[in-house]
Amino acid sequence: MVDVPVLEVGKQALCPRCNYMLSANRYYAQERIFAFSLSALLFLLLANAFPFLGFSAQGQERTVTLLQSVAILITENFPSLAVLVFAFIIFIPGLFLIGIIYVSSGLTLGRLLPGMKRILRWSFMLVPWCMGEIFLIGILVSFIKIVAIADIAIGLSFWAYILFSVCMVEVVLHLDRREFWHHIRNLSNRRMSP
Amino acid sequence: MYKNTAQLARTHKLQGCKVCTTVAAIEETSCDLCGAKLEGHRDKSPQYFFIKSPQRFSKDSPQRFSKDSLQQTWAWLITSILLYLPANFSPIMRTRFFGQVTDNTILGGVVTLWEHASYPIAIIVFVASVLVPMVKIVVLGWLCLSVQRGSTFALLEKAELYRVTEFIGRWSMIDVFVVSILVALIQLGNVMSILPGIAALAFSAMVVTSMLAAIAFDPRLLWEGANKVQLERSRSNDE
Amino acid sequence: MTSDADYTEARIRSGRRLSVIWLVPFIALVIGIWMIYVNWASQGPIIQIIFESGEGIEAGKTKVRMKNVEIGEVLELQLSKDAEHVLLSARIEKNAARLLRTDSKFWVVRPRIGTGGVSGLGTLLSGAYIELSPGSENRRARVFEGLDAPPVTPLGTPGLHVTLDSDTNRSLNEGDPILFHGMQVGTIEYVHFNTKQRRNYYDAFIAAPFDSLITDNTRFWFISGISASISADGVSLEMASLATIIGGGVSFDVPQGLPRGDRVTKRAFFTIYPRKNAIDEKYYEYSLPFVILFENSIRGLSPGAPVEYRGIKIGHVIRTDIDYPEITNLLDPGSKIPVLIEITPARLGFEDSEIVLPKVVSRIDALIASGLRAGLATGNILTGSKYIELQYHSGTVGTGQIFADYTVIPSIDGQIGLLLDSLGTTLNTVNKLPLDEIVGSANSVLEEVAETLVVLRKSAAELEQILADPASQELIVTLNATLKKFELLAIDFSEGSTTQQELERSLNALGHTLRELEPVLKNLRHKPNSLIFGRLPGEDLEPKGVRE
Repeated sequence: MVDVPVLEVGKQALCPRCNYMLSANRYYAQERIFAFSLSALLFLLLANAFPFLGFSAQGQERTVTLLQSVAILITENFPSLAVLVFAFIIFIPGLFLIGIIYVSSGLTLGRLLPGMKRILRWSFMLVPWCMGEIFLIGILVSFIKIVAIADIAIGLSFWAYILFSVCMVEVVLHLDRREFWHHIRNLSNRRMSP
Repeated sequence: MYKNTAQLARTHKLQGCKVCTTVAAIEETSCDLCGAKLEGHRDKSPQYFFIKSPQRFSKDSPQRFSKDSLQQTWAWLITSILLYLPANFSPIMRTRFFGQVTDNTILGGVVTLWEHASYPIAIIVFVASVLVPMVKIVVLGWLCLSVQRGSTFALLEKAELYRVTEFIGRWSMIDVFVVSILVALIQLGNVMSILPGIAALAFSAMVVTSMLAAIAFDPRLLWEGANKVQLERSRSNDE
Repeated sequence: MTSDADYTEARIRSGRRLSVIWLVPFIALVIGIWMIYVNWASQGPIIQIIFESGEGIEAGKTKVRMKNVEIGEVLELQLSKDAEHVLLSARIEKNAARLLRTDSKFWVVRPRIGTGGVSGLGTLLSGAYIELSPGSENRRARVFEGLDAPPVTPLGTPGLHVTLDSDTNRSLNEGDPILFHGMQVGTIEYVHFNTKQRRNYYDAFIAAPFDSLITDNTRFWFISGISASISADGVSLEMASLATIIGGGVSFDVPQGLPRGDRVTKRAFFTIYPRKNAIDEKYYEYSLPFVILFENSIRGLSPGAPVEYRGIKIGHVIRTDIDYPEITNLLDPGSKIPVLIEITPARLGFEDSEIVLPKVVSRIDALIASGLRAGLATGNILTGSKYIELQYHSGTVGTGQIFADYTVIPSIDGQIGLLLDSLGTTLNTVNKLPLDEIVGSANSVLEEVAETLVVLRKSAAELEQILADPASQELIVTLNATLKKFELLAIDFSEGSTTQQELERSLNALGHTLRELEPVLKNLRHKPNSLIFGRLPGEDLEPKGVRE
């Protein structure tokens, strides 16, 4: 058991035993998370709105949106793979962002919103399953594989997805379990003793 | 040896919530802040839960919370080991080029990339798809075994290793994403199209199970061996 | 020290500072709005095309192209409500939206093999795509009807569009060639069958510079690889290019003897004649039916056979069957065989309009009353084909009979035949040869020669007498006289003398006669049947004009 003191801004609390970073009080961490998760969600929505990638070879062209690229896996008889990919690159990140935005708006308003604790708990569970940045690296690798045989066109959605990933990484990096629960504890204590 | 660094919660009849880090009494069954399940109440005896030989397993040494963790870790780990073989040896994608279908395994793809002098890509794919899952399985297995043995060897390094493993595990998904992007883009009918192979499914299932294994593993178990030493010392001190 | 009254609490305002971090979502929002704008601004209209079949078309994959430049993509493919067509929506790029006029055309490019060759092979690999042919109309459109096949003429080709029509059972296909003197100058682009009029209509395109060949006197006719026809005019065999043997085609020209006419520049209408030799016949719209009842065999008379009046074609036979309710039993001794003919008033010199028809009917009735009769005549002795000849037989008096609602032209027995006529003509020709003259000339020459010989004989006798007389002086004198006479005779025979001239003239006349005889003989050698066939094939030349 480690007592984590109220941290000064910019300092990190590490576990004395295993050097795990227990908590870190970063500059305006909560606001950062809120701001970046809003942006990330916006970019995620945009990433689904436009053409994602284009491909042309042998005089043939093909443009897919993000959702189409997942849907193709279903038509190729791999619906389970499609579900996994869809979950990892769109659905779970989206869910996580919505949860974080919900909790953050509650914290900003200074009110305990219904289901806030449960949502926060679930949101943290979703973190390892958000694979946006891995997906991007995967796209780059496949580009290198394809580039010899075909031309690749990058759609608006691809840029949106890159921006989403950047914001997402920013959110996850600043995510602090202790900090969130600390604020929630304060909120619930305040409600219990008005 | 760890006495000076920190004291265990259990020695103070306390436990920490894994979700919201709230400290609660050891008798509590659920966290009153976040509502998560607490398992400290099952931790009645500060003894090893794992018995190497069945003879040493008795009612006097009841199961502790960490057993669930370790059991889950093992279960997921074994599943992912089972999935590792088809994931690496069956075709991850099938390339159809002018009606001719070729199967590509992950290793075959790496070899092809290497032969085409795309060394960085070959290394990335090899590391992410072959090495990382293998290392992850080996590391998790080793950690589980050392917990069971109550080893106190290189605990800090092991903890670091666990964290690295947990972090890099997700990156094995790269190959699955590569396949799905290739499948999505290269659909020119008979001329040239790429279809996913069964290994894509096996591989992603392996990544998921190994991630679940890593999540299920409670790194605090690593200190169980140290705890034992500590507890015995404090007990002998009390006596 | 300060008193209580002096003590005032500072007003506390909870400062709500807005962190710079909120610029991030703001920028994100701006980027998002920009993306939506860029996407919206770059998007062109969505159009709908109706196709007969969606073969080879895939939503999200099939492109819309123009001259092989991509200008759009198929978004969706679905069946129309009545499940008869395929409804296709496609997004066209913004800069190509101006090409979407009401007369823009779309068709699917896929591999095709036709008489015109193989096309669209590239799409075997790349898959089908939709080609756009931009329109020129001012109004824009969003819904189009797709063509089943590509328009045969490449886009924007200069040339002339004409509409052809025909009611024969020959038909043309899209892509069939239009020939001029055996060279392809255009193609049939579109075929439409009008069920009401039972006519085929063809949209044809004559490419520049050949479009200048189309004048208001131009006639089109069907060609096909091989056509053989046996008619009263004899056997005719035509052969054209290989493409037309497989497919078919249309050729055009200005009929012989007609001026070229004025060049046609706007879309004009032409009727396709069934054969080349048919173009010399004017196309008439109005005709009158009559029936001729024959007692004798009508063997050799077939539909289409000409009806002639004093050797000029004025109509043709329509039916020779007996499918009339009036005919019940052909075995009756008195039963006659009806032949339905059609007389074209315009061929008789009347106007080709409906107004003149009653007038013509009454005139023909009057003619029948005054002895107009129809007879069978043999047109071709070898094929046995016959035609109908209308003639006056002043001795007979006609009766206005009606058979199956048609006016009956009374018949007379078939002529002895044209054979005799022909033989007569041939003999006449031979008779006309100037044999008398030749013989006469030869006679006179021979007479003159005989006269000369008589004179010679006289001279010789005198010489004998002189030689027999010994008196020298007398001899010399006599000899002199004889020589003088000889001299005279020689002069007589010398060039320019009457005798000489006369002989020469005679020989010339003989040569001339032989020369005159030469074509007759040649004709006989090449066409032995010309002595038998009464009438050489002749086309009746008439005023010609384009129907417009």
